[in-house]
Amino acid sequence: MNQNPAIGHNQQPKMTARGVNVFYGQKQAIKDVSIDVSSDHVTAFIGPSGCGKSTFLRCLNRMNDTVDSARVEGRIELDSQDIYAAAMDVVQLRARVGMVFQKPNPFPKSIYENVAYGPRLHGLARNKADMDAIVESALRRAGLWDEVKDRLSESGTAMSGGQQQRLCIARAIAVDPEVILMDEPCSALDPIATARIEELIDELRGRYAIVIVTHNMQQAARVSQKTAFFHLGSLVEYDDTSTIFTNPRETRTKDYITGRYG
Amino acid sequence: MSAPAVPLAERLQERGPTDWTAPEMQARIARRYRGERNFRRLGMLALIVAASFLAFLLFTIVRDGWTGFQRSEARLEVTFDAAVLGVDPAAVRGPDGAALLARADYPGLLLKAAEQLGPASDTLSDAAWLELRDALLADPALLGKQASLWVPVRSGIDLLAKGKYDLSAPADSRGVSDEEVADWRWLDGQGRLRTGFNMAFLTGADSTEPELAGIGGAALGSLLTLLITIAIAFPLGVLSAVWLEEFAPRGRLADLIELSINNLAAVPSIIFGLLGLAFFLNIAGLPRSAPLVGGITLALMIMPVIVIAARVAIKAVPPSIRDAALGIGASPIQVVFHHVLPLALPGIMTGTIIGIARALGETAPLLLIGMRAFVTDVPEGITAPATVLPMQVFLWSDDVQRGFVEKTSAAILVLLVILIAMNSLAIYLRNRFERRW
Repeated sequence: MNQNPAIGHNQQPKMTARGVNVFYGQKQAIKDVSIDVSSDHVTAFIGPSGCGKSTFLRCLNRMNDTVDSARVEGRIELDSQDIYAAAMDVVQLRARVGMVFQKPNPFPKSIYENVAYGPRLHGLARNKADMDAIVESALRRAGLWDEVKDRLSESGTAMSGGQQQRLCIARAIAVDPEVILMDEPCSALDPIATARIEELIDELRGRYAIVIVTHNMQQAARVSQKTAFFHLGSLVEYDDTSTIFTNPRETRTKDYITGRYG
Repeated sequence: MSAPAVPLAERLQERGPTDWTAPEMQARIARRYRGERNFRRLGMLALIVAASFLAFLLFTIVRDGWTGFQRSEARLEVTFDAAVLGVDPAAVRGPDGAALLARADYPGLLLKAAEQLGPASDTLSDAAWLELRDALLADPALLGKQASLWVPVRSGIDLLAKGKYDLSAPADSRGVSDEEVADWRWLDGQGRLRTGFNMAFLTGADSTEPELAGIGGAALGSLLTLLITIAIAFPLGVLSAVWLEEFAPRGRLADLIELSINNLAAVPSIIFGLLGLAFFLNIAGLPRSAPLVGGITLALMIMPVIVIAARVAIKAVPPSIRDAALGIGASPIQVVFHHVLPLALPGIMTGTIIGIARALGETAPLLLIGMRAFVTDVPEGITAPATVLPMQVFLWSDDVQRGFVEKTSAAILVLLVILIAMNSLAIYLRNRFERRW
């Protein structure tokens, strides 16, 4: 599937969007957005509430399909494959493009079962030992292994909020996705748990293409290398994070960054 | 109407600070507290009224019903005389001995044995000979020997022994003849009468004689009927709810279906009986009075209840769980079967058990499909004639014989115990499997 598997400096973007419009019934939520997402970077989507950044994120793995009234126009590609093409298997797409949600949403099952659910769904493990290895490596990569290795059979919902969110990240990376979408992953967490997730995002960089939606501009500045500023459904500016935060091209971006509105 | 031109700040200044100690303010506060106290008292009163109705109901049923679980028996010295029984002792020891013994003349033996009761020889129940048969079949070695057996007495004697008649009343209004009273006094005086637990009431089926009637047949009929009901209504109801909640396109059709289901839940149960009569008996030609048809009819009746309960339970599963599963590539069907249904199951079970409890207490639709039949055998299968517990209560309450009064209340007690057990199970399931988010 992966046409360009080399990890490092990909010339070709992992995902591309061209002229994307999204409608909820009559209301247009996204207006003509075009953007490239690279494997090497963490890409942050910032913007005021209701600007459409989450809506756009959910287009990238077709989670908007579950909303009856949503309609997506334009072209979104994953490794040059149109993900809205009839031939695209949504189940497979979501295995390749994982997602972490705003509120930690572990299944009310054991920690082990939470992580093992995805691999089991896609038949990634041949036997129990295989599955144990997948679960351990996913928990290790999510920085959770040392905290939970002695209580894998305990319920995932009994952990703290920050641990739950890292469990959700472990669950997403257990199916070995190529892209991870994070929809305000820290908005329900305290500052310490937030710092832990940010470190984790930094560790995962390069291994997965990561797209993070955030309300928190400092967070975008800390974790991302590319930043896209959305406003009223349009992509206002997309550039290196350092450029966006120090020398934005657009006044709207500048006003938002400096806290004029938001 | 134009607003006064005075600025807001000035108007507020005119009002001055709120005076909490002013008499009208104090009165308002007192009124509020009074209202709250009165409302609480009213609630308490309503609860007391409801509880006392329930207590009264339970009290009268238990008072009338507990003796229904007992029956009076007379002691009889029985000589199992082969000649009276009309069997050949040599043949009984042969290979067909048991069959031969089963066909012997026990009524004749009973008639002979009853002679020892003298004046009270006609006080034994018509079916008392069954006790003699059971005793001999249980122990064939008794043939030719004498044994002391307890056999049931007629209902009139039974009621006298339980003190159900007011003997100080005049003979023509007390409902029992002087002769029976004399027979009872004689038996009692001889020490030949005892009142004990009536196992036959729990295991037997209906009878024309109160002392022989049992609730077992109706209980088994209820069980068979409910099994059919669950087997049909649960899968149909849950699948309907899943489709409506998870897959049905929102729109006019979905609204119409929802409206129909809610209406169906409120349709009088007798209508379902008419449907059962018209369709299952007359068109489909299924057997009359059978648990099969009763079960299908009740399944139609409680299905809307299950659909509604299951939809509420499915709706209560947080959408974040669906997102989580979809987000790692589960298909919609996998989301339903791996996550939504397991999490909704306690709620679905609670709704189902409440529906089943309603079906258990239902009589009207079953009247129409012939389940008010007089069935003297415990039903052998789902197509055999049967009756159900509430129908048995109805049949006995309609009977003119005095002995059925206590049987009616006893049957109600059995029904209530089963209902309480089922509702307790529903509460247990809800508490045991309920998840907190």
